Amino acid sequence: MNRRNVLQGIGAAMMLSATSGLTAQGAGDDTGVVYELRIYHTFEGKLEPLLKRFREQETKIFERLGMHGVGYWTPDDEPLKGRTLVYMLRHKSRAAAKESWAKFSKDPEWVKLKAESEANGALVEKHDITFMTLTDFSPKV
Amino acid sequence: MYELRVYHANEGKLDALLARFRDHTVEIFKRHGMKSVAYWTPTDEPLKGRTLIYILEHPSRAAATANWKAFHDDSEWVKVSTASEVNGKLVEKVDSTYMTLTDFSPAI
Repeated sequence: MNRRNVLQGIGAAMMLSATSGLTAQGAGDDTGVVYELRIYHTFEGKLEPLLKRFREQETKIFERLGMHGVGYWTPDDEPLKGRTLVYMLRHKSRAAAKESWAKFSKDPEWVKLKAESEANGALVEKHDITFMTLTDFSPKV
Repeated sequence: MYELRVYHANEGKLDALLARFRDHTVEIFKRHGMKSVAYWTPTDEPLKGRTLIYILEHPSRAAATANWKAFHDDSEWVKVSTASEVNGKLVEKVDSTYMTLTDFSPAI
């Protein structure tokens, strides 16, 4: 084997390892599907306007920007009842999530909606965000 | 209705907890009418490597109460939970939140 063939061999091996490295990446890094659980704790009396904002526009903005709503719930029991929204989004990857949220915060429809809905004060006091991946034994969702 | 459960595992016990769900718990849930929506593990600190999050669907709140009782009395569960905890408990704390889909939510 001459020097050129050796170098080509090394190049091919490196490409192969880069490719298999990419396909081996799955849940938990920047390339696999991720889920985002968000829990919004609202200010007193602000759950209804928050739900209205989601119902009428916010969920549609999420979908337009590639964030898929898996489900939206409200807790049934105290102390969360009547003051909490729980929802889950699915993103193509962690990198896509970051990009979608960056676009969302600058989206003209969202900027207008947020300003209008908070004319009488902010709706959400605190939010908890948890990024997660499906376990190997989970049903698909 | 839905139940969101967050299990905070004791140090070093998440893999054993996941194995118990994978090999037994999920099947026992199914047997008692508790439908698994999905199971996840968080990807970031401080929950990473020590937390299991899952959602169950129950026909009603009354059914949820009855299902959990049947689950705890299930002979397979009694055997499996005892066997899995011979070296100590797997779960330090469980947060359970019963919740209802909003009128604008996709169906699950």
